[in-house]
Amino acid sequence: MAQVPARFLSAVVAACGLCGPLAGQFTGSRRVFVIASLEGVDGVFNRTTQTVPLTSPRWQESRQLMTGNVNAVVEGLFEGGASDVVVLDAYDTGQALSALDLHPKAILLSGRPMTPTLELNSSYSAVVFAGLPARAGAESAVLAATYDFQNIHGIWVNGKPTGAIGARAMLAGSFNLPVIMMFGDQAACQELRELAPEADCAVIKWGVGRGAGKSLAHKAANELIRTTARRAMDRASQIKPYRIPGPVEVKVEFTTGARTVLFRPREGVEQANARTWIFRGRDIVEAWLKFGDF
Amino acid sequence: MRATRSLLLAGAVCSGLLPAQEVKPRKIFIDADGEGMAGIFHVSTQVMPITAPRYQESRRLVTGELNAAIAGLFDGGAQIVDIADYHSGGNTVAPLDLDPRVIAGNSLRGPLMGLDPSYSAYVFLAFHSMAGAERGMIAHGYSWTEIQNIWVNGEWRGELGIRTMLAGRFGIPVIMVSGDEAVCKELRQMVPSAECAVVKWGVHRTFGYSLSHAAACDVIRKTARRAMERLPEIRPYRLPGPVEVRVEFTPEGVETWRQQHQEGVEKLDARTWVYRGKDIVDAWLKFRHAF
Repeated sequence: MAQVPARFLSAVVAACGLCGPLAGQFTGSRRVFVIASLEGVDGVFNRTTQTVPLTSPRWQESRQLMTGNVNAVVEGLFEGGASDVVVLDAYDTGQALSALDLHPKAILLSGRPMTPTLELNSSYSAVVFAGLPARAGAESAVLAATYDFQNIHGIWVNGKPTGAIGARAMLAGSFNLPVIMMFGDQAACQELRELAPEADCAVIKWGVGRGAGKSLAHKAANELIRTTARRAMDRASQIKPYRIPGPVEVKVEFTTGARTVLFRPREGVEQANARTWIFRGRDIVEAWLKFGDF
Repeated sequence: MRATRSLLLAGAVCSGLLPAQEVKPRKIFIDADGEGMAGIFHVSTQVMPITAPRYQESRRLVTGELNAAIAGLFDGGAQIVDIADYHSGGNTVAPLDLDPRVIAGNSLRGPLMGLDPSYSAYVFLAFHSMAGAERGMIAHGYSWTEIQNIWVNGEWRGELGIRTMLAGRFGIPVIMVSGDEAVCKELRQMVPSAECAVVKWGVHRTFGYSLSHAAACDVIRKTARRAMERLPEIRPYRLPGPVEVRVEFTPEGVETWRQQHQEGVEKLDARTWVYRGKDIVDAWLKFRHAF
């Protein structure tokens, strides 16, 4: 793990040794890792017409909205003193963010398959969640899902209901990194606050049901996101990483008819009932990776 | 500063320290591909010609980077810049947006790409590393699915290497590549003093880090200018003959590959063929119809 940031850093430094406006941008100590998704973006509610990559009739609009929100968070982080911002396009197969209209100073991490721990590492000083959804089953949560809309009914870590927000906060915690802010709907923000009460949250959407709710206008959402990100950077040192003690048990209940139940019982992997599997490890990373990627 | 350098150069040419190519017009050949741009990660949605759903975006990315390279080359003193639109047959570069100072051609320029000794330098733009390259983004050689490995005189090579040899055959130095870290390494291994504009860093073949388009163009423009200014220092890659090209096909390639029997062509084993010639042009054209 330790090799990865060193290689990346030295490569960027070598490439940009003489490149003017970029010089110095990659060597700073306040590197921020942004995990971006679409569900929490302003104006996005309808799964069919808005969220299916490349084929939804409103897909181009959705990716523009996501880009606007993400660029606002990047801008706010730089205003707040970030030295580098890496943005992972974690939505679906990674078709939403484009180098063409991404914030010029951001580094885009994209492609598939992602590596199991998302290339997160201890060279960063903070993590930001941009538009992650609340977990499957959350109340009044727009486009709520735990990783997979069709196949996963729910996940529990040491008995506690956990979605992508929880799992990725724990992953960040395993590198001793705090999640300093997020933007998304109110339910998603509440989910983060339960784990990191000091984290900043820009609520830009309020769910009524899974496919309906209220949203700020795009410009208002961007403004709120930018100012929240700047403040979060200022307050980053006060926000604690979310760490859970080991050993860890991850329980995954698949939906009826899920097509992904392809595990074999082995050390630390056990089938609890027809639709439920349990994955155990000495810490969250070991246990979770027996189930899948973060 | 510039005048001093020119004087020194003139002196070097007169005294025979530099080859005669120095007195050629500064005419540059850009070989533009479609995988090495900032922001390209996916084969099926971004790279497949015409049919990829994000292909128009890819065309804007490559044309933007191309314009940045052209601007940098002219900044650095280029007099003529020619573009070869080489990504899958030349439907990639967008003529509507291209810098008006250049002449653009598609890939139908004959077996030697339209390259000839009148060029002073060769530039690879938005290029990819060879099949099997470590952390090479969308690494491949000539075919997505049919070729496993290529060796020339025992050295493991890809498209960049083969074309560097072709340029060298005409006495033309490769002065620059833009693309990911792996393709930069691949050129530097053959031409250590060449310039690299690294705009992408692979984690694996289809997942990695990229600059934004704006930042990539900035790096490319500055690198192209520097490459142009350093042209006199960069030597052509010379490959002494005779030359042996060895190609190992994938299982799919074995099935589809049909080779005419001819002098200098030999089947080495179930999936490996050897092509021999007096130089790289002679040997390579026995394998494929073009470079």
